[in-house]
Amino acid sequence: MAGFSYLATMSANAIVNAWRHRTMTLITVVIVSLMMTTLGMFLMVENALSVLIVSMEERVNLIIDLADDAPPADVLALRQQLLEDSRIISVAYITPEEALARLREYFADEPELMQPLLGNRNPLPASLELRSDDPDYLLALARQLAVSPLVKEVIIPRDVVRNLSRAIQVVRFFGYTLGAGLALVTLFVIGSTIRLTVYARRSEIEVLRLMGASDHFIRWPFLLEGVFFGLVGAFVASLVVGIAYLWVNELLQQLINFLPVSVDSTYLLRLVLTLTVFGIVIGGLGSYLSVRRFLTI
Amino acid sequence: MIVLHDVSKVYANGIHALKNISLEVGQEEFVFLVGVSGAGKSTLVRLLIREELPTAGEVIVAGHNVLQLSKRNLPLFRRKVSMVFQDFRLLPNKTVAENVAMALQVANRSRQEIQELVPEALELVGLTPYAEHLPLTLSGGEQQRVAIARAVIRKPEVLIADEPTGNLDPMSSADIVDLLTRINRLGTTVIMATHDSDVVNRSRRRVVELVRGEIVRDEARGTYHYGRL
Repeated sequence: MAGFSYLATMSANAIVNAWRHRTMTLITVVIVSLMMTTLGMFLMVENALSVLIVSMEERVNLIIDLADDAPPADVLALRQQLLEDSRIISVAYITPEEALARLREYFADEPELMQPLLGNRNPLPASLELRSDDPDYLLALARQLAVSPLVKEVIIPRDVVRNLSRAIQVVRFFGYTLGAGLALVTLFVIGSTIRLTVYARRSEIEVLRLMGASDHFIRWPFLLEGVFFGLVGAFVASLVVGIAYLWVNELLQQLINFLPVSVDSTYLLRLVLTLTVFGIVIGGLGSYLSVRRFLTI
Repeated sequence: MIVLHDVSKVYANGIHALKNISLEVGQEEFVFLVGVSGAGKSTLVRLLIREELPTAGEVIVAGHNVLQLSKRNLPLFRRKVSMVFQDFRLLPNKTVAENVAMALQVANRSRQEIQELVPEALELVGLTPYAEHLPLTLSGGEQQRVAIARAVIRKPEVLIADEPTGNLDPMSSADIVDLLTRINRLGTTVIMATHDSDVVNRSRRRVVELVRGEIVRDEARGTYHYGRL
């Protein structure tokens, strides 16, 4: 109970400090909020791209069109061999009839397009469809299978995967670099504000010290003030990023309804938690460094 | 209560502020520390509250050898030895009651204790009606009384007052010395460094005079100037 009352006193002192130099507090809070909103936006974009690439990767099928004269026993052996490969998630054997049925389904709205193309025969070969979450392995496998006499053709939508992989790497690289940069700037901004507060309160600190205040008693309000800046920044950033997330989701659902875009509330919660923890850590650290350097007790 | 044994203080710039001083002050004594500017009064006061460490010798205050005080025990020491300053050093944004309460808050006292002790301290210094006022709305004498209430609320063993009447008119100065005398009678040892000859001559208490860092006089019922009022 005494600990709680102590913390309450410290927090009250921190809030009073922040209020005393409210212009400085406002400037700091606005800057910290901007930094954290930018960071939150990047986290959100990175997540959206990750979700997209995972869904694309899941859809990536290596399609092996089998040669018309491939002996069924050899095809079965190949299928078995692929099934035993741990990097391959699934192997499906598609008969020419199934392939045709799929094609008809795809062009169900425009059957007239199909007729001249197909006539009365089925030109589609039997095929094996592979799924893997490792696009690089799929590419290597495609090269290997292309020369097999059982295989007529290997089809892989490699460019999409490659481009997405590259895009996410670029976004991650810039995101992390920017995140680190923003963290440093936020540290500096909070540290500078705390430094000014320490300077403005130096005579008060002197009196407290001579009254027998412990190091903790003098330092904690400054540390809590830094944490307070971080928390307010995290709150504003969560609000802005949360609204943006919901808005972008709605927009994407309208624009590209074939992609698996949906509101992921657990992701939103994780994002808010990440920003909050980031705010507390960066606020506390910024003020700690400043207090350690400029507050001699 | 206070023992200084062969204490010297030489500052980094070579100034010899105190030279082989020895002094004993018993419990519940009231001592005036007098001397011209630069005599070493402030250095002595700073040694007593451990703002400075002696270059040589031993300083024992309220049972603590200040040279052996750890950083951890320093706040505990300072809660036994209170200080009153010439410029009051009140927190201008806090009310009179909050200023006084601060001395208990730093010692992590409970809210209930604070609510009981603050009115008592304000009553002792005669400022009960001003509890909710801000310090800057009070006169100099009243502000110094707030500072004294803050200093004595924890019932310190030693109260060190460094020129407490330096900024006050003669009437207020007399009030402050009367108040310090009352606090002394309640059991607190009082050391008062002063330039104010009137208050020293009127009180007729023990007087220790410093000249160029040395004790030149230590009289039981002394005056500001040796041998005359």
